[in-house]
Amino acid sequence: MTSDARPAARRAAGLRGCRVLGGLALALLAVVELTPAAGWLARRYAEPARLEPAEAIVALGGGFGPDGWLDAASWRRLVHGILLYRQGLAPLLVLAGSTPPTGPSEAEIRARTARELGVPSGAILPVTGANTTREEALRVGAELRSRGVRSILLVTGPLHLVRARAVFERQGLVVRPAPVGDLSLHPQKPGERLALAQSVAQELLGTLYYRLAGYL
Amino acid sequence: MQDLGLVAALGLTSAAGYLWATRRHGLERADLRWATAAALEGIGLGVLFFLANLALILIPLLASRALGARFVSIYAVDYFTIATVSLLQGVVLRWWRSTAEDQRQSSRTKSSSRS
Repeated sequence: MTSDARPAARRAAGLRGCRVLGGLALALLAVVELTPAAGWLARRYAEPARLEPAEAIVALGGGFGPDGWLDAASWRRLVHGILLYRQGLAPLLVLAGSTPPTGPSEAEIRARTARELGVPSGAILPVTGANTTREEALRVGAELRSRGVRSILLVTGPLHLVRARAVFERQGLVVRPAPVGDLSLHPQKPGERLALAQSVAQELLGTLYYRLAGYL
Repeated sequence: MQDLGLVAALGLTSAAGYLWATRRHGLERADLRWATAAALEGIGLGVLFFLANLALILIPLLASRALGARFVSIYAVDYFTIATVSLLQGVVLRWWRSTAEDQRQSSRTKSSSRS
């Protein structure tokens, strides 16, 4: 092989590799968008509900914008927590959520909303200063231990519950999953399947990160 | 049903595009294989750009979180936009290479015909 031919052969091999990668990416996209694989995988991964009486209901944060508006996930988790409280499954509603450098935290905004929706102030415990699932587990765990609470109903998305449950159990709490859907686990449209597959991938990576960091 | 509709629409527009290209513009069927391979290479390059873009966004984000600086949620990253722009980067790079190869080829042909 001449000295000119060698780089050309390397370039051709590189492009062949890209061709294979491109083909695999398209095949994966077709499987995710056009088959029930994403829903099946999400349903197998998701934490099923176990709604039993506990000492507290913990509604994890779901994000909020700079204008102080709660994101859809945050609303869903808050409303589900309030409904569980109204069903009498626990006497205490713990509201977590992210805390910006300035202004009210997500937990404080949710606590105000819960009061306005009829939950007595004494039954609401906003927990601020946490921005990640692990930080929420650490802060909520410390608050609940100081009150002698041992069992909780944990409210978050069914996929997020797998990782959240594990970090809360590490805090010595007995966790009963109370999932509330951020996304349908029975997606009907290609776009919905893609979004669900992205959520599963995100949670798998999040769990891997938590394991590598020693949080689980 | 919606999936069938999507597949049918893709099949029909692809067939129409094939007929339009071969009958109206006289494109060769054999060249379609080359074009498909080039498109796959562009998509493959797009995947590589996506991974690189993701790393360049996520590493500083995780580092700032680890150092206790400003908190940015990983959920706030817009993966769809990154994927779209990365695909564009890959396709442009692939076309650029093809164009450069074509120009080299034509200048070689010109110089050999002159000599």
